Amino acid sequence: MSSLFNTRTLALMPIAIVINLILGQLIKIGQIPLYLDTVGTVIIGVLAGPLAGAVVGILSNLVNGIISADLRTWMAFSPVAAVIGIIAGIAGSRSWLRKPLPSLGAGLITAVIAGLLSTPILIYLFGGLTGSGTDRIYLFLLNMTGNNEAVSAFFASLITDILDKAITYLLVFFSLTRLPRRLLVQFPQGEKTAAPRRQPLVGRVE
Amino acid sequence: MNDTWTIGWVSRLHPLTKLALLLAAILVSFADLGKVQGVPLLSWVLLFVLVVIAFSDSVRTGRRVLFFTLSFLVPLFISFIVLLGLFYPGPSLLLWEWGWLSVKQVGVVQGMVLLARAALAAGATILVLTTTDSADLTLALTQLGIPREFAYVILAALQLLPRMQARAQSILSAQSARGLQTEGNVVVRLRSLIPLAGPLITSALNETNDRALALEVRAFRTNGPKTSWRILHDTAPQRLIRWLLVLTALAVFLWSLFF
Repeated sequence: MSSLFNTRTLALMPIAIVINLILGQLIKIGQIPLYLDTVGTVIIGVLAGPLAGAVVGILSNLVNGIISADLRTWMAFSPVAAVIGIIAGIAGSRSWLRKPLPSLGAGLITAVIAGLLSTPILIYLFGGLTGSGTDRIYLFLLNMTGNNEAVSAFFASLITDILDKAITYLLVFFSLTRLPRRLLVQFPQGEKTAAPRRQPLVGRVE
Repeated sequence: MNDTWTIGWVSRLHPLTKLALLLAAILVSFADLGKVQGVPLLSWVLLFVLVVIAFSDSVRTGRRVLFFTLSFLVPLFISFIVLLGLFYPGPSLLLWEWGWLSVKQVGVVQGMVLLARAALAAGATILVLTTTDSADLTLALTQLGIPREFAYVILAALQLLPRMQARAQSILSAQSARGLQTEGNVVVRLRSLIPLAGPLITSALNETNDRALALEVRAFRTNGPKTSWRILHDTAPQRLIRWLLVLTALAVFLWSLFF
């Protein structure tokens, strides 16, 4: 780990984890039917690359598991968190976070892939139920599809996930574009997200 | 995290011993031990043993483990037993019926299985956390050969959390003072998210610079050996028990996979 990340990325890691945790709690207190517990993962993925994103995704789930004392569930979903970080890293390296629409696109891609990944885990651990608002959608779909667990679990989480990841990416887009350029470029991949450098006024040839 | 009491015998164990206990509990929780009519009874017995261990450490530890396990179990219980029991699709033996409500056997059994899996791991996590100082755990992990960086990220996140929670609270107060509506229907609450989350994210990111400088100044990234102020006490029997715990749990887990 020591040679993989520079000091600034390392310093951002605990902050990204805490952003994940706090926004996840905030959304629960506000009783909004979303998760928003991957904002920090997306931020570090965009700024510091896929590997840092994946590591923070896994560690976030570890810390979340420690705090909620439900280590097993959180660790079971850590591959999903890692993939979310990787996708964010790729989106960041392609400068998708400079504009709102590509940001939204990255959110949609993340939602579909994360949904595909989390469905088998969800069914194995809980038989599709999560104890959250999604349960009602799941049971409704279960009746519609004639007890097809996999399809129901996938679409139930997809509906929430698309909204969740879209808002996550928009939130990241609005936050990052409002940060000063000098702060963003300190991160390995920050140059790709920061607005392009303006031409210096001196010496410009018209 | 840091309000640990070094009074009981569990608290005085080497952190790695307790970590082995946690790992064993998680592995065993997957195995669904001692099934009677589909319900893993032995897993429930093990959870009871865990609570007894906590009480033998000290009454405070015991009470805390019991309280947190229950506060974790009750919502899950409602979710699993009630939802699965009441709405489990497909045919099953009816246990109880009242109007349109009915409790189905298959739902209750499945709920008990899922609950047993989650409860054992949760109980062990709380026991280990309440009896282990996080700085001791970090040191034990570093001595084990786990990179310092890994321990730093986890520990820093756990320490940063209460501070950021306080900051979130003050941002909420500040924005409410400016007339931000945080109550109402879902759309209103969703819109209030941006003025709350935005400042939180930007202020947190602004902090990275200071943290990176602090790390550099303390020679965190140098490769030489470090001296620790803390001393961990380890004994030969504990080392043996650690290995036995993990190996037994691994054997039970693998056995449950193939038989």
